[in-house]
Amino acid sequence: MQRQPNFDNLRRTMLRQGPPGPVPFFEVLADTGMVEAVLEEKFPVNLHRYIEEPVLEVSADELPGLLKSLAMYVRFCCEMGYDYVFMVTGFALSRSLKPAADTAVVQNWSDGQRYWQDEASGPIQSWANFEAYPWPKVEDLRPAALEYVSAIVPEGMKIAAFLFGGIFEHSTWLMGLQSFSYALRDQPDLVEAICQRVGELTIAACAQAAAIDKVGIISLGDDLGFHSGTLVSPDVIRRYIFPRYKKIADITRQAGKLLAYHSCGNMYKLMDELIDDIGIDAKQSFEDKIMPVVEVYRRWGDRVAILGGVDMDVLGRGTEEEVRARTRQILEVCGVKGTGYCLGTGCMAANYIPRQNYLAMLDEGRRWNREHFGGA
Amino acid sequence: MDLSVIKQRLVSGDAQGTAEGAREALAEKVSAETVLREALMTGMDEVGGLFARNEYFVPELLLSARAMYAALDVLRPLLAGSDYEPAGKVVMGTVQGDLHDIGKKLVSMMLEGSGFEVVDVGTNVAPERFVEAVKESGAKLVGLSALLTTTLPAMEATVRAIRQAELAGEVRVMVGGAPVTDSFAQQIEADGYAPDASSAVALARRLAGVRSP
Repeated sequence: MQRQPNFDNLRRTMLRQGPPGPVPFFEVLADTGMVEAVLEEKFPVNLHRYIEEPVLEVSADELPGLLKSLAMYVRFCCEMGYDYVFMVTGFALSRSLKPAADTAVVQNWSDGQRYWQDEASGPIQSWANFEAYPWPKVEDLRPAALEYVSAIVPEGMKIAAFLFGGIFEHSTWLMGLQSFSYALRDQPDLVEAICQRVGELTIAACAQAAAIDKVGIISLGDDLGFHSGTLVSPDVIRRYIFPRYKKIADITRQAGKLLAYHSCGNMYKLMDELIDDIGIDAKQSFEDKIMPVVEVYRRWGDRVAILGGVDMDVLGRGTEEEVRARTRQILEVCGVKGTGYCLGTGCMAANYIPRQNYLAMLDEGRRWNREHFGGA
Repeated sequence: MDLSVIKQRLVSGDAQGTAEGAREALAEKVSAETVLREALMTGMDEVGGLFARNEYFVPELLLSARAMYAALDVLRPLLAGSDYEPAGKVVMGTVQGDLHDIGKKLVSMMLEGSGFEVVDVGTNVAPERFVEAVKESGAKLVGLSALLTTTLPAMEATVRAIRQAELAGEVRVMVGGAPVTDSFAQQIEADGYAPDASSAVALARRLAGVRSP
C-alpha cells in the first residue's frame, strides 16, 4: 500500500514539537540524473536550460515536456516517501560557467557535461558591467513551476520552494569569488550594490513563493563555507548577507511557512546568529569531515531542526552496507526523540550517488520508523 | 627600509605599499633574496598562520598574495641573476573531471610565498598530463586537488600513473580538497594529505625536506 504523505508530521518535526513520530525524509533537491535513475524514465526536456537561462521563453511545443518533467518530480517525491515536493524557484542570472565531462554514475544533462562556476571571474567586474548587466526585474519574476505543481500535488503533500542560488552565492558568482574577494577591498560599494540587487530579487522570489498556499517550506541555499571556516569573514557575511536573510526569514515566518537553510561548509561560527537573530527553522547540509551531523544535533538540536547528514562520500563511494550502517548510527542519535530531525543526504540526492545507496538510506529510514513508530 | 614594515604591509594586503617597500629596500642595497626571505616569506608564513586560526579568510589570503606578487615583480629580475634557489618545484593541478580552481590556487600562492616554484597545470588535468609536467619541470613534488566525491577516482588514477611512470628520482604526492581525507590519502598511497592551504605548505616543506623560514 502506497504511503500517505503527511506534511503535518514533517512540519511538527521541523518545529521540534511532539508527540514523537516517525522520522520524515528531507532533501533540498534531487539531481535530474538521480530522478531518472530511480524512476527509470528520462525527462522529456533538458532541464538545465530552464534552470540557467535568465529569461526563459517557453514555446507551446516545449510546454507539455516541461509539465511532464514537473510531474515526474512530484512522482519521485511521492514514491520516495517525502511529504513535500522539492521545486526550484527564483531567478537565474547569467554567469560564467565552465563545462567538463561529468564523471558521475548517471548524467544530469543530455550533453554529458557538468557545469562549474568560474571562481576567478564573472560578468560583473566594474560599475560599468553592473549598469549594463541584464538584471531581471522583480515584476517579471513568476513562480510558474510552483503554481503548476500546486495544482497537482497530492493530498497531504506540500512544496518546499528552493531558492536557487543564495545571496552570497549569486553575488560571488556574478564576480567570481576571486574578483569578489579583491572587490571587498578595492570596490566595496560595488559589492554592496551587487548584494543589494541580488537580495532584492531573492526577497521578492521568497515573497512570491511564500504567498502560495501549497508551499510549506522555503529552502534557502547559500554555501558560505569550506572545510575550515567561512569563505569570507563572518563580519563580511554579517554586513552584506545577513540583513537580507533576515528579511527572507521574516517574510517566511509571517506567511506561516518554515525556513530551511542549506549551507555547505564550515559555517558553524555563525550558527547561533542564524538560529537566534535570523530565525531559521532548520539547518541542512553537513559533512562528516567538518562536523558529523550527530555532533551538530548534540550542539544545536534543541534549538533548530537538523535535516539530513548522511555523508556524501559514504553515499557516493561506500557500499550499501556502509550506507545502512551510517544511516542507522545517525538515527540512533538524532531520531530517538521522534522530532527535530529528518533523514537525508549530507547535501542533496546528487547524480554521483549510486541509486542503490540512495534507496538504501531511505529504506533504512523506513525500517527505523517501523521498529520505533510502527511505520512511516 | 625596515623589512618588518614590508612584511606588515604584505600581511595587511597592501600591494602598492609592499612593492614600494621592496623597491626602497633594494635601493638601500638590501639583497633581493633577503627581502624575499625576511619580508615576503615570513609575511606569507604569518598569513598562513592567521588563515589556519580562522582570523584570515579567502579574501585576505588573496590580497596578501597579490601584495606578495607585486613585490616579487620588483625582485624577480634580481633573483634571476643571483644564487637564489627556490625551496623546490611543485606541480599543482586539479584532477580530471574537476574544474575547482580556487583551492588549488590558494595553495599555489602559499607555496610560492614559502619559496617553492609552482608549475600550475590547471584544472581537469588527466593523469598523463601530470606525469608529463613532472618530467618537463623536474619537480619532485605534486599537489592534487579535487572538490567532489565523484572526481576522487581520478585522484587515485593520477597517483597510480605517477608511481608507474619512469620518473627521475622519487616524486612525492600530496592531496587535498573537500572530499579528501587522511584515510583516503593513505588508501591511494599518496604521501600526505593537507586539509587547507596553510597546512599544505607545512606538508610540502616536510616532503621536500625544507625548514620553515
